[in-house]
Amino acid sequence: MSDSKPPAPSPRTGLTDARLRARIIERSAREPSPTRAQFSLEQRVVLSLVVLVPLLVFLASGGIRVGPRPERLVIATALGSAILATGVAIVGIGRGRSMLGRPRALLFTQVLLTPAVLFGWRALLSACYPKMTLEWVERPGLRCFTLSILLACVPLVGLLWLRRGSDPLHPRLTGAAFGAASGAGAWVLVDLWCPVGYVPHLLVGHVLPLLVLIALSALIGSRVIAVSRGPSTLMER
Amino acid sequence: MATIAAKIGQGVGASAAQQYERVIPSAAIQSDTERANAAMERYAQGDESAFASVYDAVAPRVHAYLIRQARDRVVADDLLQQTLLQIHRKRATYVAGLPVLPWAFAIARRLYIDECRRRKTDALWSARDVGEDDRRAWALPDDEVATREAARLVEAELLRMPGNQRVAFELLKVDGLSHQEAAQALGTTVNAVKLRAFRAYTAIRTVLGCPLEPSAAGK
Repeated sequence: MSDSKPPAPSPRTGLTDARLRARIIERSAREPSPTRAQFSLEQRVVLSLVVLVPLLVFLASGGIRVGPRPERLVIATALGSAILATGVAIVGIGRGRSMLGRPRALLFTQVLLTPAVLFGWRALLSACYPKMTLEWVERPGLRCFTLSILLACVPLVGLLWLRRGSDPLHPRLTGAAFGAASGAGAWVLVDLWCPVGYVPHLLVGHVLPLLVLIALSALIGSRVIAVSRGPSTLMER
Repeated sequence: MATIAAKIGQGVGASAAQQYERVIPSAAIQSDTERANAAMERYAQGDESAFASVYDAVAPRVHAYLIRQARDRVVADDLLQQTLLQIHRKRATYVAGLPVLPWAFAIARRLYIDECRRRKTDALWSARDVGEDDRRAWALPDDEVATREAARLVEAELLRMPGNQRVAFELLKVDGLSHQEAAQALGTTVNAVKLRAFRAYTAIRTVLGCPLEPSAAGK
């Protein structure tokens, strides 16, 4: 029976016939796709917007507001949360050494830990200073909630745009990681803006928007980041 | 020529998994991987002619995988086209030096899963026979009767086992991916891939009448 083996090509190369090859190559030639240089330009523009727009929104909202907080507390909270946010962004946005992104477990950990660690850092530091965790009746956290969402939405949209249709493995989790990363970035700015360290305020105004962003971006990510098929040209032949 | 049958059956069912035999020497795998990565890098930089090289390095293995999964040549052809077009559309995001094959396999797998969901006719698909041409793609039997019977057993066992074990086994033993590459393609850990493949391997050995000895199984 081994005589009936196709002679020249190996079983592997014999799998795809020339017509299929020609058709796919021809189809790809008809459909333009950006090269790395073109994409790099798009990436630079989007990333610039991702950084600049939240900063402009932040400045338009009043910028840094120290309030009754000691300066050391402001610097410590902002510096700590900035370092954490950078780590969160590196894990959440970077792909690591694979075209398929970070492992599921790492993304899951990032998504779970981001709100907890940021909240813990702010609450712990505020508790170290007298009167910094007192209630502000007129500040339940709604303005912080709105500002957090406003600051994070442009980075989130930018990240989703850059990675659209690219994740075949876990688009929902990647989306959630983007939400955590953009929410963490917004957290740093809101930390500089908001002098309230009252725990219920932090939960409503700072943690809740982060959770909303994670949930929302997971939902959007499962549709936008996921690899999806284009129109078929072979099935109907 | 090392075959899966020989490895699994060690004589008893040597002909069995010849249906699953793939002639992929390790040097060829290495060369395929490097060729695919180099071609993809050129293609990402804008060399349009490199797409043919990417196709030649990636398509045969992905196509074989899709034929095994879909059990329908036309569907496999279509999914292969979609997979290659995804790579084409996202060529700009390719990072130099990163492996292309796990990426291609992961895209193919995702598209296949989506196709199954879209049609919602998994049972109908499974009932379809793989065409003779497709069978020839992976192996040709040397001993008709024994091979067919044993191949039927192996195939039935592969269909019976959980999908994650089957896919892990096939990516490693049939498509020749490394543990690392298979883990990336499946979005799981290397240990999980090893465990799934080992379970599949054990089940196939059992069905071929040569179960692993307890001491070996315990390792």
